[in-house]
Amino acid sequence: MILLVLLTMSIQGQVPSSLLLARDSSFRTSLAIMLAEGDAGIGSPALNRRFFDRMLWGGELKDWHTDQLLESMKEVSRAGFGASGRIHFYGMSDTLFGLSDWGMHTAVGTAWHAQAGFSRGLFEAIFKGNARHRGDTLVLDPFSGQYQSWQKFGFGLFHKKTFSSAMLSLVSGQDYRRLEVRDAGLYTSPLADSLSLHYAGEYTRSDTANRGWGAGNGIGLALDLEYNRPLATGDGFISVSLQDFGWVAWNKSTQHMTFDSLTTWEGYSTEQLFGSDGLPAIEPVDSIHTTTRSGVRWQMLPFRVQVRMMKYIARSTLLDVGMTLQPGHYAVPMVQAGLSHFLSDRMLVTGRLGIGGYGTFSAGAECQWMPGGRWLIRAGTHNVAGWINEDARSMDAYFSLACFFNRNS
Amino acid sequence: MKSGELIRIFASMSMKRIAALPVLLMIIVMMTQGCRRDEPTTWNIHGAGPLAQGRIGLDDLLADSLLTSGEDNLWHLILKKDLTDFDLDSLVAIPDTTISRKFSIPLNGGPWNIPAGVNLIAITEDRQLGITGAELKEIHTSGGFLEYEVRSYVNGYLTCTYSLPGLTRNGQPTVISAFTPPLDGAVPGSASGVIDLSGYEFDLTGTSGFARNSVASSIVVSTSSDAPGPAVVYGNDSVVVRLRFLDPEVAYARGYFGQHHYTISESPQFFTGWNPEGFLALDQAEVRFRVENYTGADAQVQFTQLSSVNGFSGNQVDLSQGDWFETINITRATEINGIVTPVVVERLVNSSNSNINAFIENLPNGLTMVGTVDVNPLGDISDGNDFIYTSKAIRAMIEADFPLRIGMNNLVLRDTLALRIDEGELDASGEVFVHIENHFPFATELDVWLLDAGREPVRKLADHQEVEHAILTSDPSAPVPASSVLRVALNSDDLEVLRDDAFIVLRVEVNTPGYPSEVGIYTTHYMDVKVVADIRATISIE
Repeated sequence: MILLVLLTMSIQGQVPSSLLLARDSSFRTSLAIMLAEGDAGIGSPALNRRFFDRMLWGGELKDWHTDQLLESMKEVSRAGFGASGRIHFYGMSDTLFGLSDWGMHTAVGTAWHAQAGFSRGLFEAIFKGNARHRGDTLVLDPFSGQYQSWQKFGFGLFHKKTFSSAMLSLVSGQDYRRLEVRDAGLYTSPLADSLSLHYAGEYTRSDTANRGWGAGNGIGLALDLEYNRPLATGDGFISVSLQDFGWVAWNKSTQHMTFDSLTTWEGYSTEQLFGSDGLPAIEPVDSIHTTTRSGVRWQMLPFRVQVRMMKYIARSTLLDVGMTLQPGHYAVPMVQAGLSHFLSDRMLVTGRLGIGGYGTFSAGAECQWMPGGRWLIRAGTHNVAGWINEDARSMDAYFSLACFFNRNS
Repeated sequence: MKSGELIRIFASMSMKRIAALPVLLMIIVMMTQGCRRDEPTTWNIHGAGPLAQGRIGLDDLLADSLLTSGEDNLWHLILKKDLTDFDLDSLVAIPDTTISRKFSIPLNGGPWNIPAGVNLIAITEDRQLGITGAELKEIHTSGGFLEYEVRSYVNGYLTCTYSLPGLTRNGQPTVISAFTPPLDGAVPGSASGVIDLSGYEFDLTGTSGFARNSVASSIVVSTSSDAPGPAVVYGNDSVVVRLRFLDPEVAYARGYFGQHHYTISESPQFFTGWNPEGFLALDQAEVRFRVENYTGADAQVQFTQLSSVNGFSGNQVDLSQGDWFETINITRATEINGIVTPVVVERLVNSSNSNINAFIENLPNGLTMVGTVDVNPLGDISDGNDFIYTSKAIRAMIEADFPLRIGMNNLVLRDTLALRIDEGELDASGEVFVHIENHFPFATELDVWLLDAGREPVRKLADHQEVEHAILTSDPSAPVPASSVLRVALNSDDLEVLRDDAFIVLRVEVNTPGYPSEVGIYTTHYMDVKVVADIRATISIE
């Protein structure tokens, strides 16, 4: 059995480093900060960008390509996709409950998240076929896939100097599907005169009556915490954050199916071929056991924990190291280390190396710019290769735009 | 933070900043549009799987009506075919007939004022139907119409009651009542109607009971009882009744049908589409020719030719059997309480009294039959009691029993099958393998051609694919099976053709071991078949 690998693609959940360590800190005098963020990414240690491109945008998956992927694929692998968008509002001017260092933090956001753990056999069955496995069983398990999408409406507080924050969000669940196949295999007889497919597992899906953005098929709560503590030396920060920690109660129309089936196909019978009624639709034979029940189902959001330390190692150069942890049997902590350099007081460029997460090495880049001290623009990727090399195992991008509302604007 | 503060913040945003947000939105939309999926995702797979399986016996290949098994489990091929169905409807056909009769008022001079409810005319008489060549006493009709019209040249309201007591339906005589208005200047008062003749019985013996082809009738014309005033009648006034029989269909007739002579020239076909060639050796074939007479009239049948015709080679073999070509006298059928017992005459033809083996070994897919039929050759010997149910008169049939103990040498059967695949845009190529375990004591060689919608050859799909025959043992019903694999290659172009009303031409050449020795085909013989596909297909996801 697979516990889902939580390949959270909401890559930059923490506050931009410029807001913590920029030399030009004039933005702190602003009345408020509006920060819009968006990110999207896809990745897998077994699949590459060429594969994702063809699957998402169309095109031909060449034989050599699927051969190459299959050859390098481990027995069990994983893939994930995520995209999100958020708008934060930080009230910088007023006091909150009489505490001048604390302000109001509100945010709205939407997110899509998909992840899958799959076997090499399943990939081969789908993308190569079963012809090479006569007299053999293609092992299709384990397979586990989950898709969630939701919207969040959060309200909380933050510390104006460190941007540490706590926010409680109301979550509107849009869609949830989860398929877990514990045991599955496709047996092809030596002559290929018989195919036997056995599969056992469960499938859950949220209310199918409502579809689309903002469908509201469930409701829940989520907690986002971020703690940014200045280093004792005063030349850096250490950050710990917890994001999307919460649950959604998917409504009573959520269906949960369990199945344990054996389907054997030996072709049409000659009686059917010679009959006058035409060929019937292919129907499974032998045993089929499926049960379906509907009801409210609680499901955790794909949360993550991030730890980050940023420290000046020279006058204009920062070292940052970090780790992202995601719960799950197959979760691999993603470790990153990078160097950032202030090209000017308002422009910071970063190069970052990482390993883990999706299981492969990555080299990322990021740029943060505060034009006029009234805007913050941040753009970056965790894997530059994903944009220039079709063999890259992941591809992502993130973008932030912050606006500082000054008193004299 | 107070709400007023929030409003003030938004109000403080410069127009330039506000404009930046839509620009950002446009960039996002443009990026999204650039990523739109505009072609399907495709990839190739190499799959193998079963298409069909099962056990095929001879009874799966031929209709149940064509096969029967003997006590020794040997299959017998039974062929039954109506050679001819003599159409004797014309013996008793009633042509469209119009009967027009003028009835004059039996008065002189006038005018006479006739009060209401007084009879003016009352006449009973027979009317003759236009039947020729037969003297009928009775007919039953299954269709047709009787149109009637009454014209009154009397200046008064009349009631005309025209009775046909010999024309009954469910035992009820036919009575036509017509009410005519007064003569209007030169225009007579008239009334008309139509009677559907389905289910009517005609007594054609007239009022005397001894006439033929006659219908008894009576007419009563009176001034209407509810007339507003007296009718003004002159001695030359009249009433005209017009009856018209339209398309009467006779289901049954009784009487004397007369003497008739018919010529037979029939070419019945078997197995349309199959054009057999090659050589066949038969053992103990038996053909029974049978003539059934369901009519109550004598018949004399004389066949002068019976030939088997091979439509592929054009060969024709005439049957030589003396009895068959002698005059066949068939006496009349009997009818008791409506139940007809036919008279049946059979002629048995087998290898000891004819050339039936050569006749069948010609592999006919049709016959040619020439002869004559004479009805009532001895005249009216039934005293006018011939009868006929027109739906079933005289039939000639052939019943052939071929014990399938046969020898076949390059016996070729051909067929053309219309085929169409409705599997969308499947792009595939590969091979179809047919694994056969043959328990039949004959071998086959298969050729398959693919033809396009215009029946033009596209490609040969299978070329001389052989199925080995089972090895005979001391028990002919249990030979040792032989295994063979047929291979049919298909490519994506073939599938494209098959998506457009294509045709498959099959040529099967059959051979038995040791020809011309015969081998038996038993009910215990069969063929185990597994059809497996090994294909390379392109999967496409829109």
